[in-house]
Amino acid sequence: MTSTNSILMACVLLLLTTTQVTATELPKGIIESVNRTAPVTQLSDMDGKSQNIAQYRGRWVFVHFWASWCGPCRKEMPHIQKLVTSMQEQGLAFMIINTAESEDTVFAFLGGVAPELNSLMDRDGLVTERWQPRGLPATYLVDPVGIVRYQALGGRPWHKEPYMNFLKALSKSDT
Amino acid sequence: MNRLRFIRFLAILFCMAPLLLNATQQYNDSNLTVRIKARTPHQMAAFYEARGFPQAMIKKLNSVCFFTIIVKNTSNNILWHDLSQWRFSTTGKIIERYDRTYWKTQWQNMKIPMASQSTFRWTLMPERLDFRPEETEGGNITLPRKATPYTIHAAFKLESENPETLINVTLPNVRCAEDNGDSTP
Repeated sequence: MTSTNSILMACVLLLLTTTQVTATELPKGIIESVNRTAPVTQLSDMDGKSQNIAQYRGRWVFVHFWASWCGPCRKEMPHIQKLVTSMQEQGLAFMIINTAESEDTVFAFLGGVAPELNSLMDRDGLVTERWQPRGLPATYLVDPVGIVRYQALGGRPWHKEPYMNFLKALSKSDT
Repeated sequence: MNRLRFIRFLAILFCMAPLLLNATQQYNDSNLTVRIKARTPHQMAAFYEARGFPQAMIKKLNSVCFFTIIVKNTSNNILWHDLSQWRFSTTGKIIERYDRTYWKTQWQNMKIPMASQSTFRWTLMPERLDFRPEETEGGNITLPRKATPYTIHAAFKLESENPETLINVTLPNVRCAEDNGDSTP
């Protein structure tokens, strides 16, 4: 009986320790998502090039929604540009999606804050609706089998080490 | 000399009156911060015109009162927000907020382009949200335009060990902003 209790206690301690490690590994403002299949997402960028989230099966996908009128988006977009540039070799796929704005607005905005980025255009806002973000900006991390696993609360300094390390580790993992 | 200073002080105060009337009101406690700012019709029209909204939409929006609300969860627990639990009143009478359903019907009847409808929705305060620790979200609420000040009662639930903590926030004397700084309807 005593040995059974000891084993149980050890298991509980191990579980608590594991949970704590997992929680501390997530950078600030990144939360685990209620596992759900990523909504159907197929959009074209400003050059007319189409991206479909289904084409990225087998890779992690960074899905980001933004709009030029949202203050935190303006602050965050240069960080995302740095992230995209430095993660090109890592296998992480990016879908940067503008919500319901015109090409002129997007072109002018990105030209000022992140000129190397191209954005997908959710012209009528319906794809954004499918994802049901908490607000804008919104970022989701979709795993290689198409399940939304994490989301970011508001804008994040993606170029900073904790976020880069987290994304690098993700992009090397299968789940 | 003192009289001149006093007159100068009055002049400065007079010039700043519109700004003071549009000042942000704030509520703070150990669990959350709520900020509310009245927006003038000019501010809202400029914002939406810059997003390419049709004039019919701007005209409609100019007839209502806009408040921008920002909520920050400063606790270590989940803070539940539900706009249906908020109450708005003026001179002791309850007034109904124009919610998303109201606006959707308006825009559909007016055949407003989907892009403008979508942008408008994203500028509204979320109806429900589980604010995570340190999370900040916000947006606009729209009310019928009144000359008299509003009282806003906001209700939140804080997830904690049994029982849930209810947090009631009252923001009194919140005025609808006019372009000239007055509070006329």
